[in-house]
Amino acid sequence: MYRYDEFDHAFVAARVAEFGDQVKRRVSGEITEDQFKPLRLMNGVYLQLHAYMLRIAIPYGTLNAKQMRRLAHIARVYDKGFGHFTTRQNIQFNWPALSDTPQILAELAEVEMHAIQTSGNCIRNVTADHFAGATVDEVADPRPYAEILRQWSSIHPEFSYLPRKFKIAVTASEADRAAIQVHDIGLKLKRNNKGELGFAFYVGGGQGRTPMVAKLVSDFVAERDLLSFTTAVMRVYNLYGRRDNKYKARVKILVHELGLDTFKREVEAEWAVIKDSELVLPAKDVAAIQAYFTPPLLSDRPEGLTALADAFQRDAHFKAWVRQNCNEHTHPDYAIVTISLKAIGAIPGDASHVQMDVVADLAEQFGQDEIRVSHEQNLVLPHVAKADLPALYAVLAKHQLAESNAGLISDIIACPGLDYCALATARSIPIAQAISNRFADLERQRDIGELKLKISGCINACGHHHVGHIGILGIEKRGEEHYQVSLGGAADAATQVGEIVGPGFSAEELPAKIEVIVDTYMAYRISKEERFVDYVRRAGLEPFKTALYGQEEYAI
Amino acid sequence: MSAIFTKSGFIADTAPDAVTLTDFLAAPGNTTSIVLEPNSRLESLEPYLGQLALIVIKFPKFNDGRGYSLAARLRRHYGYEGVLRASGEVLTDQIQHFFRQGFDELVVSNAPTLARLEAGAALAYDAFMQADIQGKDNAPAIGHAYSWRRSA
Amino acid sequence: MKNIVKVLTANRLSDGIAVWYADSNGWVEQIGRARAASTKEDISALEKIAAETLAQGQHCDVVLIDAEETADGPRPLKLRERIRAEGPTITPDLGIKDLGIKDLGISDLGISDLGMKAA
Repeated sequence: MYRYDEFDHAFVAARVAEFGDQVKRRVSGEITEDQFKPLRLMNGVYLQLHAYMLRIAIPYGTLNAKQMRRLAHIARVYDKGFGHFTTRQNIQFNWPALSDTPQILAELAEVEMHAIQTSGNCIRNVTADHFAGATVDEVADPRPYAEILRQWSSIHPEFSYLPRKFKIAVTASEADRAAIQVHDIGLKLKRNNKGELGFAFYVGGGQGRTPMVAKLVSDFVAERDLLSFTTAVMRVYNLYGRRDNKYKARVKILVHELGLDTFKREVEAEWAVIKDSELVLPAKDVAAIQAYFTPPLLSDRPEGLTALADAFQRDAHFKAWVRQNCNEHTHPDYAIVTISLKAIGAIPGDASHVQMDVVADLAEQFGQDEIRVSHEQNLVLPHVAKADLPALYAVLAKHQLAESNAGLISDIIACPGLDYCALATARSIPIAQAISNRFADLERQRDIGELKLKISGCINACGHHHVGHIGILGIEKRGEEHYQVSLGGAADAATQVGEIVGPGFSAEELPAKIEVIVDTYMAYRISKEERFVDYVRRAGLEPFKTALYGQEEYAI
Repeated sequence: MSAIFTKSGFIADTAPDAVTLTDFLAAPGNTTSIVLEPNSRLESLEPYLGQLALIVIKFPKFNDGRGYSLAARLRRHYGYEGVLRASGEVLTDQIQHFFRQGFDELVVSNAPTLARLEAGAALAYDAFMQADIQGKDNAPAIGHAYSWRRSA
Repeated sequence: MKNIVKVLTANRLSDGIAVWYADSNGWVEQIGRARAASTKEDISALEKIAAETLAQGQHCDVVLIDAEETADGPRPLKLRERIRAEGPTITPDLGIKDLGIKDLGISDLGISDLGMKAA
């Protein structure tokens, strides 16, 4: 993974000092809250319902044991002992004091972490495939490019006061585990027919009030043109993005209102002027950054095959966990492990300081000291020898980290919702817990198969409900929490916004209604191989509407 | 109370009053100073850039960043070499952004910002992850010198 | 018949903690002790305090909210403000708290002990 050089250390130190000074000036009244707010947001500091919230960047979701231990320390010393991993591969703490944040940032800088631009109307954390560098289905590791974009976009003098936030995601695989088509810029690393690396460049995806799938602005932006082309898009957005209405200010609205052809023309015209400037990305710089992402030297561990076979015989739970939570690695003796942060009934995406330390230890002992955060709010150990899986599992199981539900219905994505967030209209966590408990039975979950259920506590869609196979949106209706259900959303290669199935439900009704939805699918699917989302695509919403809202002849 | 701040300190304002873009285009005459709103389109201005000595770009709200891109285009697309001046909500924490985007002069009226500048408070950064718009800063000597990095 | 009053609330600048305006104690962390205003004069007085507080700059989001008077003090009408007053309705170690609003129909969440030290 990337390691800071002297320049990086000095850069982050300057940022920490600047923020400390900004806090002082705010406390002394030299700057007003209106003047301070964008500054603190650009350092990841939100004001929520109960307290401040600090969002710390985990660039493209990659961190090591030392960094994870520092996060555990922050949870213990400055917070209430836990943190929340987010849908953008970052981590959030819900209770830091503003007066402590400069010190927290200094302690993060010691382990090469920061909270730069995790909020505000600027370029946010560049996210990437959480299986990068280990998966068999990628063209090349996309993370070096995410790192380059991260550096280039840091404290950018032209793009620090955009019309609105700006989110970039990078994938290098057809499967797209980075949801690039619901990002402001989505990049798919690919090769042209000369074998040269470049990007399919998508612009204008996003969720929130007006969910939209990103449009292909260029089928192939060469590697050397990555920064200049991105600059062209950013400059067009910065100049022409709407600033009159916060809910119409994302680049997706600009693309929609201009029309794709006009938007492309504006970007091409801008790019024509700057494409051969100092923004050209030299191959030697790409190579230098790539050197940080060289895969670890993995020793052959052929004993893994029999070790697993033996362990499967002895422990059915372990077998279930391997089958559900372990993915194929480029090295046949290894596996990519998903550590579920969705224990039945637990708060999705939360980890206690104890759990963080446990994961750090396991990463060092069994995982080549590398940890990932997925946008599905789980952790990943991308390089674990199959032979070590039984020992790893044993430790995970002791700490409620071994739920075998990766991708199943209880692997719920939920935003913090009205329990924490000042923007929320309804609670999401208790809903997630209730549904999780309802479907606790693992056999049943596996029978249902892959089902991505996502819950947002307001229309801002931080829980990504628009792209849930089942999406739940919590709104307020006559002073009470009310939940709308949508079906058929997806954030993969066939990205699609889900469709609302009908009138919403109360919190008490909702778990049973989700069960009706699942039972409908189970009754009518061709076979177990037809996933829930595929059935919805094939059959549409009618069977569900009937089951939920009426018509006896279709009642199950 | 306002003053004009440059990288070399405060200066007196000797420029003639700036004319709006609309008025200028209606009758350019010998006008040498114009003022641009954040939503200005620069294409119509291009033929006249040679006669302009001063372009003022307004920042009605400090967090309306359009002026930074207008400055970028004036410097890079149109090769404007005259004075670029920012006015409006010009505050401490954006001073360096202005200079790096090609502004020469900043009209500062915010009292705490003036006080800090008068006291010679240092600017926050001397290392950057981008080149400045006019290419005036140096590639860094310390650490790896990736092509996008600069030092003051 | 609900007795509706106004209560002044804010978040402290230093630590962001939600606070309510009580009388001589200034800003307190328990809404139960907050000053409730029902007459025009009382509400005016709170508005004046809100303006002064904003001017002093040590509190953010200073607003008057509606509450009903109860034996335990003011109880906000809006769910958002009730959660703000009582804290998150879920915590890893304490389970769901009953806010006296619609029960979510959840009895045993089976929330596991996460091995946390007391907060």
